[in-house]
Amino acid sequence: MQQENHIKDLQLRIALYEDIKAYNALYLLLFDGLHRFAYTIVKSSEVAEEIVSDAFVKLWQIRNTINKIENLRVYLYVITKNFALNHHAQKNKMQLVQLDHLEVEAVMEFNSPENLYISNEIIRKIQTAIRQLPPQCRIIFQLVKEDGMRYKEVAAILGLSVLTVRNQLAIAVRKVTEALPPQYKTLFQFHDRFSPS
Amino acid sequence: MPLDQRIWLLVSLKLSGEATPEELAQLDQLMAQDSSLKDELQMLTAIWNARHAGLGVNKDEAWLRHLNRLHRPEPVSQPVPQATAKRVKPWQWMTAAAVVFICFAGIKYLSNSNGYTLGKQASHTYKTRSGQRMKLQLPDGTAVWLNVGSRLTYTGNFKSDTREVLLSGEAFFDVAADKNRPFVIHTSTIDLRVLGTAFNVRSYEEEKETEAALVRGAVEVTLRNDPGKKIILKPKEKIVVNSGKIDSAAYTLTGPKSSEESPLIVLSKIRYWGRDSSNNLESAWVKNQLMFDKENLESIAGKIERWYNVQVIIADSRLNDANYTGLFENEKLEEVLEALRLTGGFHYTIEGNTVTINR
Repeated sequence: MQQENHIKDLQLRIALYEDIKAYNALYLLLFDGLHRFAYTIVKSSEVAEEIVSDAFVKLWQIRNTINKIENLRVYLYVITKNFALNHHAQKNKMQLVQLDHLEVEAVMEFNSPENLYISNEIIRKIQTAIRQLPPQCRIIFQLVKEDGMRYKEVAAILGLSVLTVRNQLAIAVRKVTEALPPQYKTLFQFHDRFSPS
Repeated sequence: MPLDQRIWLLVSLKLSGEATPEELAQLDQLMAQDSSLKDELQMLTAIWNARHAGLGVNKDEAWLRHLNRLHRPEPVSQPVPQATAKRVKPWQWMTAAAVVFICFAGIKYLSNSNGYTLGKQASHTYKTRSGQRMKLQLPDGTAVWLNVGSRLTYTGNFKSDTREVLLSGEAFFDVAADKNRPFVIHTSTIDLRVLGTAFNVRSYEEEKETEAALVRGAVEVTLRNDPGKKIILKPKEKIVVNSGKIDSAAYTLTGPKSSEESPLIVLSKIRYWGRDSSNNLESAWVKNQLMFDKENLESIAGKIERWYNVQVIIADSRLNDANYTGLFENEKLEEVLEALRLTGGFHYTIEGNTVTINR
């Protein structure tokens, strides 16, 4: 993938030459995704930004060794997750929690797709459907859809099996489709006509 | 797997780009059985591909804020956001001088090859000059009273595993309890590791001794040049470490200059006076009390210099033979000197910022 190679290239420049421009490029490239990811856990844009910043501070501290990291993007998501969970635990004065026990905030402010009119009402319905997904399912949906993550990567970030990610995403897609008005629901009714059961 | 579940799986695999050629073929096959299904999938794909609008944070601005955190060029005029340094009302201090604090990038102190390092995170340094003291609160809630001519540095935002500070000079710590994150104080001769506790640490560069006195809680003391040696301080105990640094040449946080010498360690009890058991001699300064405890004039001169921001010259070394004990609260320099003069029978003159003591 193009983005993967780009990140590899930046990773190498940071590790070998302490290239601040590459560091900057990496920050700009991954900021939105990491910020959104942190936001789902800490539910504050400012705190989420600080957490992303902490993750990049950490990256800069260990810059000379990062060429050993196999997937830098996954690595940064994992650090971000840990910082965000730490923050959440501290704020709520409790032990570290698992993501699936956490009330997360899904960030799904859809823009209406180009060349296709979807009313605000439908967008609202889709958002509601996403919000009603179990936390872990919501994060998986977000990471795959918004961040374009591979299942393998999502599994590594969340500490799940690829199979779980795959099944959870199928559930999420189904629930989102269920939120669509009847004229769009052929897919949903599909099994009524074709399922042998 | 029931057919409807299979469909959702195939659709989600296609949307995420994870579908194998076989799975795509299977989906195509199913769609061929119902042409409307194809439209629906297109619709879903359009929704899927509609990218999120973003949280409205300007990335370039966020980058600048990040750079600030990375190499924080300390603002001189305003406090560091994470820490709230309280300006103490001038009347609380013996001197009229306002309590100011200076922040500067302390990165140069933070790395070394043989000792510890606080990492290269943004660091915050609080510094008091002679005659200035301040109280500050660290992000974790720990209260620190910084005595005259002292410097306290911490890095990062205290969100990581440990809470670490570097101290040069004297400070009283009331550490916020946090079972999971020890609070570590590094000085040039000892490291102190604490959980929640209150204690005093004194480690001035120009003094030969480093001391830590514990009011409550528990503290583990590690000697910098003998890390294997650990001493647990119990409440109301104090430890004095003589580092043998007679020569107070420019001291760095990288470690004691005379690391080959083994420090002399004395463990003793904190001394109290009066009825109130909270009145201990070691942290009297926190209550604006200037205290001498069987100290000779040389030691007292050092305290007076920092307390009142003056220079004290002892013209006759024979004066050092006598020891003095005394407690002064909110008293002027002249009053302190007068009390000492009456006891010690010496003479003194004050000219500007210089005190000269003679027989």
